[in-house]
Amino acid sequence: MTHPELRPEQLLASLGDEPVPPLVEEPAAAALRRKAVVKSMAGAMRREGTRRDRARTRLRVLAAVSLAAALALVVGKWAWAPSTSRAVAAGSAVPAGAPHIEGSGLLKDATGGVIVRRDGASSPIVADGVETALGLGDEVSTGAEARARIELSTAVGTPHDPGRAELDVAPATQLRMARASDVGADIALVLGRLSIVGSSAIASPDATVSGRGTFEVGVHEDRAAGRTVTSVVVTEGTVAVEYAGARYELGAGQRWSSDAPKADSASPPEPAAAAETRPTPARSARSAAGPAPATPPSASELAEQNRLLQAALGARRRGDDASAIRSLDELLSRFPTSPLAQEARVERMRALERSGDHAAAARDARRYLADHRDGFAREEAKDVVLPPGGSRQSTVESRESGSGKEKSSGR
Amino acid sequence: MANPSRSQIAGAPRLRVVQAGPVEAKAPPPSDEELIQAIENCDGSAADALYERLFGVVDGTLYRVFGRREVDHDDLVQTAFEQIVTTLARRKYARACSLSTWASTIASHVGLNALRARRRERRVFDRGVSADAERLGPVSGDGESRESARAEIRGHLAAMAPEKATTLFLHDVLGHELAEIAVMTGVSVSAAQSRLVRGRRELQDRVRGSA
Repeated sequence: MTHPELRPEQLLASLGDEPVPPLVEEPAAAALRRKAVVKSMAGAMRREGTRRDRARTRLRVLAAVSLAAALALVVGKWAWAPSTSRAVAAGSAVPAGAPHIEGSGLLKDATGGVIVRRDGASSPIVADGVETALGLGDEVSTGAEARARIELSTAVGTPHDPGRAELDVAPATQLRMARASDVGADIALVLGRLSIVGSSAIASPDATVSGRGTFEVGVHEDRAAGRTVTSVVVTEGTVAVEYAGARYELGAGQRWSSDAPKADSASPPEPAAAAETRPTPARSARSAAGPAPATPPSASELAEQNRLLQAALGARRRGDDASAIRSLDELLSRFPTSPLAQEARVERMRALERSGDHAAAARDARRYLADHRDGFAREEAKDVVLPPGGSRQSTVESRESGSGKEKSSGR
Repeated sequence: MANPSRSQIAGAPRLRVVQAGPVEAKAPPPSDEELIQAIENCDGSAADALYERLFGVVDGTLYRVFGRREVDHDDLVQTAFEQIVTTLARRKYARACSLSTWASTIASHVGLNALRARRRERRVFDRGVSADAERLGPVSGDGESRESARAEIRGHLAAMAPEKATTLFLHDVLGHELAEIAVMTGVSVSAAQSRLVRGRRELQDRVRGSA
């Protein structure tokens, strides 16, 4: 070390202790330096001000661009989104006069494994528990225990009146959103069953069903024949079926199946003829499960049955489940072998469940499963029977340990 | 006997009332806070007052860094003031220390950077000669020996990492507290302490190495 007596920190401290000699200079030189420094400081402040202004301008431009982009996004989304989605945002399902976009709908109340495959998208969407806007070409499939509802704003220019429809999608159903102006239907039903309330047109693999009212369209595979079979059940309103170049007009209480498209089932829909148009038990699993009437009901009886069922459905739409149950009770007690009995039982079970009487609904469901083991609402009935959180096995066990009737029909 | 009147006293100074002129009330100098506010608002008129307030601090700090006023002393003063203004205008001064402390920190940065730059230049242009030795010159007598030791310390500071050199300088030379240094250099107190300890150790090693 140059100065051995001092340590580095002492030397550092001595730097601090070093007296700073006063600056001796000409006043002119001092003034000159002062002027130069002050000028440079003013310049630095000016530059900083300019930099700040530029940054502020950039920020404003960025904010304006972001705002414009957000607005464009919102407007674009509004223009693109299905009318039903907009309706949901506005607080109602499908408001009157809302603009209609063909091939669109809103999937709601999806439970049990409902999958939506977007047209052109690689991965499917699980729609359970969320409202999903459906667009043209979207495919919906429900699992074995799943169900969902589609609110549909139906097309202008279809064979039926423009309007709206609510579709209950049964378990194990596959469908695709379509455009009525292209294919003559709002929905292409590939497999399964749709319960429609309102105006809609459904295309099945072999028929086109369009109507207004309350009706069901089902498609199932006839493996023996190697083809699909379309079936239609009309509860209320009028439905037209176009099949193999022929047109069949169906009224309330009438059924039709592509398995037995009899010419005499065509319009005018006489109630007596309607009973005849039902598929034969040997060729339709659904009707095989239903109790076949010993004698065809008279026209007046059928009309009364229709009236009671329609009264029940009307009450259901009004939210008056008690009246609906009364009408259904009357129908089932007066006409226990009615062709509408199965429908009535299902409606009664639903009404009881909605009104909170789960025990009675479960009782109805068990009875339904016993009498209609292959009935169209069997999955729904199983759901009602199943206790919350219970397993299928435990239900079957409990059913088997129940009445003899249930035991004999337990699966 | 009557007392003589004042006018009768010969040779006595005569006082008379004169009308006072308008007194120019000298405006008090702006406070630190007012100066800072003006510079944050990029008010160029505050530059002169700031120079008046901080020139002594900046000049003294630079003198301590170099041990004398170098030929480019005025340039360094100007650079230091520009940086002071810029940091104040950009609101980097958090008001955690006094304005003069802040100014001394900036001036230390400027001075140490200049010292470092000069050291590099000397290495480039005259590799055969020790930069410090060149700077120190011949050693004769105790006073000169001490002066040369100081110069050597400055040389070592210039060779050290800037953050350690700055911390050492601010603490051991200018006598700032660690907490103040932490605020001024934007690190935690423990980090500042760590820099100080490591800096001292490095300086010790360098001094031993050059002995």
